[in-house]
Amino acid sequence: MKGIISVTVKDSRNSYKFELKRNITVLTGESGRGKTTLYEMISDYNRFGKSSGIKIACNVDVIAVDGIDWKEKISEISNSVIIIDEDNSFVRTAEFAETVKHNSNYFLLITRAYLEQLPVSVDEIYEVTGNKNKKFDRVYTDINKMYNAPNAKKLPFKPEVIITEDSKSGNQFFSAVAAGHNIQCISANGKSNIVKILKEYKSRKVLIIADGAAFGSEIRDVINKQKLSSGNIAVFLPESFEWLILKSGLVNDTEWEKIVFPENYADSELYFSWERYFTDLLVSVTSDEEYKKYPRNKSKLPAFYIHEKSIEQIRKNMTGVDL
Amino acid sequence: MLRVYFGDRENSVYNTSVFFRHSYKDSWITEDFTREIVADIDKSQVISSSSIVSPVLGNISPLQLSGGVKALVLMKHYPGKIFNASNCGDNCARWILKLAEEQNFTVCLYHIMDFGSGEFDIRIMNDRKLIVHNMDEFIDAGVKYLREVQS
Repeated sequence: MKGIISVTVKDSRNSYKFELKRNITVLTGESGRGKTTLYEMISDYNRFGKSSGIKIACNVDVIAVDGIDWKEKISEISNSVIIIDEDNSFVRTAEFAETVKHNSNYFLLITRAYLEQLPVSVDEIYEVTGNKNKKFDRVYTDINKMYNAPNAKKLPFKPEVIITEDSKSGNQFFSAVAAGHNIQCISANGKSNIVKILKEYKSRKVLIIADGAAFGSEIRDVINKQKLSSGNIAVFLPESFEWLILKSGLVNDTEWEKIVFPENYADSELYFSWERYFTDLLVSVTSDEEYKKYPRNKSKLPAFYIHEKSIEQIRKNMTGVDL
Repeated sequence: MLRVYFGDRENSVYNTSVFFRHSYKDSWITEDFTREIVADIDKSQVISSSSIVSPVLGNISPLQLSGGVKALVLMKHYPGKIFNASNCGDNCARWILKLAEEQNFTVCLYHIMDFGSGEFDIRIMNDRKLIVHNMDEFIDAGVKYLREVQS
């Protein structure tokens, strides 16, 4: 499935209105805000239809799934929204991650659990707000992809250390940027290591750079560390490094709609996360020009991307960082 | 003292709502602790053991209380059992710490709950010798053990 799915769920006491735009959305937040009530309304509607007294407006089916036979239930559903409540421990399993991968459904997960195996976007983590008329509000907000900056006036952020999630092309690019600025650039070798190695750089100005499209499992802990850091930690989360290149206009820009409105193109059956979608798009748009050809395995970044002029063009999309 | 296991623990109760449904007693609902947490977390008022007034849902039964309130009530009344505290939002954290001042109990966590900016004592049961005293130390412990459990 692809595209933005609008959902309204109503009864005489509650009205929920929200949109889903990726394969995985997480609903989290404080207790007592109505997350489980939403799940129960959908579950009642699934069992009793309109005679439940609940109205659901959505152009696809919205289905509540729970219990030990979850896998069988999901296998019988396609092109729908599936909602799962927090009491189901299976959402933390590798088996569930495999099920979500290449699935035509969108998943709305009510959970606070650490979900390392699911590529949740930092932009698709919401909490319920409102009394009778409820909506979803994003938990982590950004200013030009700088997340939860305590004060916009503190931007741009000048780092002493850059920690990148990956060890390949993204790290090669930011190492090239850091060289000459007396900035140390290190790779965490994976998103789940970022928060672990932060303590090695206490009291230094650290910029974290990771793929926002799949950093959802880590963001809570990183932002909590940021809160305790007295302004020493900044978090830059572009959708992915490939998105940053595409958005800069450095390569063929005829595909701008695919960059600006990925929700209309990134089919959940093909892409586990938008990070993979943007990699495919960059590989595709650079395939005709040898010197720009972006390697699918990201192992070695072509010299073109770390040329001074290219770096300058990409940096223009990083207004929150002083490099 | 509060004791925390990061990750799964044998015989712990993951689905606290189901456990609550089959084990709560009427007398628990009208005691002061429950009245206070229902007012603070669910913004509702306990009228009797079977009736609670919610500003949004109207007159509700104890079974319609939030997952956080149900888990807290269970923690108070079954201190020997291990409940899943990831069913509790951060607005339950101060109540968990308050309860831990009165009795020892253990919870499982599958995320790093925000216990606020104050000092506290929490024993980390993945390493029984470790006691953390603030959020910075708690995050470091959670990061270590939650990620170990996953990998």
